[in-house]
Amino acid sequence: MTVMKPRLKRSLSSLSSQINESRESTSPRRSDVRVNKRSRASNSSAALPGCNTARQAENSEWHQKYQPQELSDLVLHKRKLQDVRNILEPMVSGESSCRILLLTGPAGCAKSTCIKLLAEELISNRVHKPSGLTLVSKTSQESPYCIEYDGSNLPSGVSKTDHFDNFLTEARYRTGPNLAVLLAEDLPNVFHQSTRTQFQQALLRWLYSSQAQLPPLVICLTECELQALDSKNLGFSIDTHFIAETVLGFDNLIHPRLQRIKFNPINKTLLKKHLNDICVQERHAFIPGKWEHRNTFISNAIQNCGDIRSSTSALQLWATTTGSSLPNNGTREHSISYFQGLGRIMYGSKEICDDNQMINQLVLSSSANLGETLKLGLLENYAAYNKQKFPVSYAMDILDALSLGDTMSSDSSMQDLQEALEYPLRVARRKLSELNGEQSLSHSKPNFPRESKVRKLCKLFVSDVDNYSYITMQKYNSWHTFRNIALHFGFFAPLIRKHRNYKKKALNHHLNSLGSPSERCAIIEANASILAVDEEQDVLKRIGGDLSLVNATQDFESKEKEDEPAASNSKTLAFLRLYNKNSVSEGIMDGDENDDMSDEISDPIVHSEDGDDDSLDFSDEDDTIYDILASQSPRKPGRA
Amino acid sequence: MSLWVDKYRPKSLETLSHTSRLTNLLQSLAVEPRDLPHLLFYGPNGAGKKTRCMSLLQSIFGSGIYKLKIDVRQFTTPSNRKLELNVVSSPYHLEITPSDMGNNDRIVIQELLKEVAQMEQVDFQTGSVAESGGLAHRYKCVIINEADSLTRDAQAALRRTMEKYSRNIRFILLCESMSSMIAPIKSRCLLVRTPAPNTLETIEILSKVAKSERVSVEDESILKLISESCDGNLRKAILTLESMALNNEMALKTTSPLIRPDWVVVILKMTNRIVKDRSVSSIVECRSTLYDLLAHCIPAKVIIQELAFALMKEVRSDEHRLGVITWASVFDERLCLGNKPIYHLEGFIARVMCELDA
Repeated sequence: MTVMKPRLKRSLSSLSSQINESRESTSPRRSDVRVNKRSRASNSSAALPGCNTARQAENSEWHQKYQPQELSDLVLHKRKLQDVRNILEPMVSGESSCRILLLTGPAGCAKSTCIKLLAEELISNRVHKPSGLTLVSKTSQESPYCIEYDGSNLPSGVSKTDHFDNFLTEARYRTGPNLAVLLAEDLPNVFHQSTRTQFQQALLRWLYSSQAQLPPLVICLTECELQALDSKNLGFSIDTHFIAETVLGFDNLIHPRLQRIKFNPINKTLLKKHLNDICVQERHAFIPGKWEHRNTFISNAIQNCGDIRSSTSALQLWATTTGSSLPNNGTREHSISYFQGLGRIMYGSKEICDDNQMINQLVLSSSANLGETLKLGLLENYAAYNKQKFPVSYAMDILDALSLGDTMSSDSSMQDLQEALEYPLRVARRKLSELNGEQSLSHSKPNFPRESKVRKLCKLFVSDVDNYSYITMQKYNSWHTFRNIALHFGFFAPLIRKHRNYKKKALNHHLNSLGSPSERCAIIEANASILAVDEEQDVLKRIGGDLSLVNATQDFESKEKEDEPAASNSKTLAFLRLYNKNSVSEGIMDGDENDDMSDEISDPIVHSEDGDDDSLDFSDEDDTIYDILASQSPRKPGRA
Repeated sequence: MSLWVDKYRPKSLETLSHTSRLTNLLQSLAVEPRDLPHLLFYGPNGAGKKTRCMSLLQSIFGSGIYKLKIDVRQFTTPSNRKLELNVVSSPYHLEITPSDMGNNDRIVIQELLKEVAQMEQVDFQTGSVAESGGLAHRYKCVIINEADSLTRDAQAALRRTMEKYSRNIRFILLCESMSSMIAPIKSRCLLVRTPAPNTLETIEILSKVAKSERVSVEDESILKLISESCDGNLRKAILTLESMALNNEMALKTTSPLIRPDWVVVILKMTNRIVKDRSVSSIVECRSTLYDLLAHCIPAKVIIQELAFALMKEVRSDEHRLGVITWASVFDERLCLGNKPIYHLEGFIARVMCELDA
């Protein structure tokens, strides 16, 4: 047996290879078992959809062998099954307006098995003559009632982005006698942005399709959190959070024709029963001495997670190999999501009463990426405890710990210290549990950290500043550093230019009413600075937008929308765009670098007189205000 | 026309306004352009470091130094990320603000400066020999803004570049505080302290600007108010003057309201809130404000500084003041050590609330 590290996250494939490996090396008495197995496997594989028969006989794994064949075998809470049935049944019969059923939940909680079995039952009841006359598409070799989307089976000549769309188009007439449930478990490469957009649009089209009868489409999504490659990227995006919100997009999720059912990990009683059943059936496969300990193993295994596939495999590995007891029982470690983690820190955990142990587990199981999000989330949400009614000193202690924790993770040594996460979490838990005794709890929905939102705003601000500085450079031939723009020019310059722009309009109006050209010239000369402001060109708005509070959100911001301004954040692009736009005016500006005022003045004169002649500039505005202003404006040159 | 700040910025050594002693020093430097040392200007924001540096270059190279153009340069980090940097240049100098680059400034320093330094300066414009003495073209000047925010790494790289290419490159570093500059750089530069103008000097400059812009000033007290609110930051003072003048129809009265940047106003409001309403819910409100300031790229250090000084004015007892300043310094340090400013800013606010409660 290979030595296993406790924190190693094992995949199913590694487990099964271990099973085979040890099987090769173990006792001779295995041979008769294998024969036995083969016979069992071969008769079950006939009914099993989606298994490769040749290999299956050699390699029967318990989680496939005992895959439920009937709904009554399904290891799923009765009520959840009823929920799914309640939605799917009218969808199949065409009485429901719902077009997409979305099942989300962790891995191994019987999402797809449930759908496959339900589809078989519901459709075989409705359609009486299967297979004979049905149109068999290439994706539905196994079951006529359920068509699976297969993302890897890409016919030549079809672009990857269109593949899902094609699948839907092909399958849309699977109604009436050909009725089938469309199951999308395998998704196209949603990590690629344009593929994802296409995928989401295909779903939207499906939802809005004018066709009256569409086959029910079921999407099974195994939600998980991924370790981001770029640890700086803490935003909630598909790269870190593979969940319904990021995969399907907001528009799809809120659509009334989409129904969503969330699956929970399988509960302990059901899991225990299932594992016990397997034990009884596989009694002969047990290595001597293991059978007696099976109850301890099972009760350990069900503690970890409600993943039926993983626990069955772990049981098989344990039972059929000579290795003593496996660390962690070999089951998949229960991954903790952002909300679970946050909830545990703030309100403690029901399962693990000892806070110390709970935090140990939390710190161990949370990835580095979740760690930082967790801290930011704690900052965002600690105050929600008891509706913000607790003494400031508690808040102070928590914040102090967060602040200290932040200093522990240094930028230079890319590896974050575990303590940087652990310390704030422990302090927060202790402080909040001290409060716990005094007042009753009141849970509220947690917020997402605002950090990523702020970062996006910062990016926008930077591109705004770039824009501003290119304009300043082009038009006024002066340059300011970023810091100065952020601190001073960002506020003052647009304010000043706005005032001037306002005056310019008034002045233009006044010039209109003047008769003699000499008088006009005098005013123009006196107010050159005012007339030089150009609404089109100059930045007249507070750089980065006005200061308005950045509010916390309970929802995901739809990422695609926010991405657009960020995508155009390239300085080169902004620079070139502006350069092209201003290439005409730049010619003028080149001329007046010799501190020669006359050039610069002549420009606005032409400009304003153009406006005078056709006076179109003001036709759509309220003239009266300029009349009033015009009557005031002669004072200014007069004062000079 | 440009803003008054730019319009009334002195363009030559002769027209520099305050601190005449420093002007004399610079004039003596300009006499021998061949021996121009590396320079390090240090002094508060808005004191005229850049103005002095440009004036000095003007006296060496002629007015061609003001023929600015801007380029966007691309750099690639070892991790294959693309960086973009604005480089402002004239035929005689180059100006960069590498602090925009964050942690990658070393690459910028190395790549860009190597490129500049390896190019021998050839004087094609024989016509300008008379103007520049024919000597100045031997080297190119590189102005580095905000040199104090360069990382140690970048400063070390700069130090090597300084030694290696001292023949055809001259550095002018501008920074607010010398404390974060490494010693080898300090020793290679002529240190020039640029003090901020005092209130009297500021008033004088402001009234000069007001006069040439034909702003009627009712009384000097309003100028005094402006200059006191700006703490010797001439840039801020002139910007304030201009916006106030425009706001009041070019006639400043003693009663004209002072215009402060919106972020300062926001911080003052937050200060009020901290002092008056010390509760968890007000911390939550403050967090929104803080995030907003951060989203507008107001440096966290500036926020904590403004906040601390506003609190100092607001609280009554000396004990409380001591507490505010103690915790401000603690969290200021943590800001430098950590990488998420929001924790420290909010932590400071909570600390101050507790301090005031005690």
